[in-house]
Amino acid sequence: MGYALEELLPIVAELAGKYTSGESTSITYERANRLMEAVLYCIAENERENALASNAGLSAGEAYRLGYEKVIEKVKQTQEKYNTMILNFCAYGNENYHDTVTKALPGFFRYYDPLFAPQDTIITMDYPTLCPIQSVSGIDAVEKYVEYIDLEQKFLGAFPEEYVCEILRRFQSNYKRQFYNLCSIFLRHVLGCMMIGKRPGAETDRLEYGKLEQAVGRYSREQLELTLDAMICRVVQEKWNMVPELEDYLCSDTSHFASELILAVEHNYLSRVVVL
Amino acid sequence: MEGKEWMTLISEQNQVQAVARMNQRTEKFGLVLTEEEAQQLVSLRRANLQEQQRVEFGEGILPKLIDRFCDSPYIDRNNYAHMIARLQEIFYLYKNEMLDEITDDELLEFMREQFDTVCFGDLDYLEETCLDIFAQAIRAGYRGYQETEGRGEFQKMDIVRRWDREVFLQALNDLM
Repeated sequence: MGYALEELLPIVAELAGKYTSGESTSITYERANRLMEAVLYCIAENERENALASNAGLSAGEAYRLGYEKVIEKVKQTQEKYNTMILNFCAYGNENYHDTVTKALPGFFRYYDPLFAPQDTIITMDYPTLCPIQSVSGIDAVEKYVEYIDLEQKFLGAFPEEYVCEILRRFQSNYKRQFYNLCSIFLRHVLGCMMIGKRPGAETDRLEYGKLEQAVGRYSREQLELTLDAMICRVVQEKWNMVPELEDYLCSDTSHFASELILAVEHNYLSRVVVL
Repeated sequence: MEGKEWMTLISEQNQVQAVARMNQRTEKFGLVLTEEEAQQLVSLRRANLQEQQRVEFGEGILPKLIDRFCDSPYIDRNNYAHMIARLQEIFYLYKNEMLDEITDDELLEFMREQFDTVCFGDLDYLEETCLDIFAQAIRAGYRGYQETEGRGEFQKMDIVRRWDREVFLQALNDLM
């Protein structure tokens, strides 16, 4: 962000005037800081789209205005995406998933303030996604979150609801009251089945964990991660005819999963990591 | 954005000229600020703003404050600069104490009315009694001043019986 302070101050001053509706000549440091953050957020939003904005002779005022318009546009697009996704949304009985998506997210759209506090994420997004949302805030964070939830729904939605619920129940009987990611549990089930050549949904017998143990033992951690990535690629290709975003999203769990599998084999608790 | 320097910077633009320009309005009341006094008021303003952790934009409150108080019977050429400096200090303090719920005009209206009628020019009484009571009411959720624009508010919450005709006659009776 290459703008001098002198260029930013008039924008903050104008914003402060709007904030007080011109009825107060002064504001607290805290509020002034928040308004400065709002200005910087919008300018950064513009620069994200066009990395050369400040070099292209765009004034701070113009960059702010363009950034603000982009924020508004992003809110609109995210809300549209949310509205489409929510029509077929299924929480599989998990209360946290249900409340976060059906109650907290609409609350964000209701209370988000793109003018005076575009940097505020407002909600805590209690349902954890496979890929953690870091170093973004405001609409950028929620846009990512809605995108991830949508991808999870695409993945889980490709399997019968009862089947997904059954796997979750077998993982933990009171999964409905837990705060973990559901997609991860089901994905690990699918990958586990693929590793031992079992058709997902087929009857399980006790020997299968032994087969998985042997399969895991054949790989180093890095090889295992690559194998899991390749399996995800295959599933995504077969089921969705390639959706790169879904593949990237699901692959964000493989590094963890590979480490957990190796540790689980070492310490003999494989059945607690993956449901077969 | 790191530090508070930018807030100080934004608060220091064109202040002395804005204050000096007010002499044109106040000189008919015999009140004129010298350049040195105007400079001093602006320095005090900076200190007040820092103390109250506030940042001010545009011309600031001083011209408005001078405009609102210059025709008070309790301000004369001898105490003018001092009174304005104190009023400015009190103003910023109570913007914070009232959690920014009140507009500049409403607060100035309230201050001016009490300054002339209840305090008889006593700034300590204005600060420590009238404004303190009013601020407590606002913090507790009172918003009646929005309709009255700050006029006639203190009588609603005053805890002291003031000198009116009846109290005066009563006091006179007691003495006789």
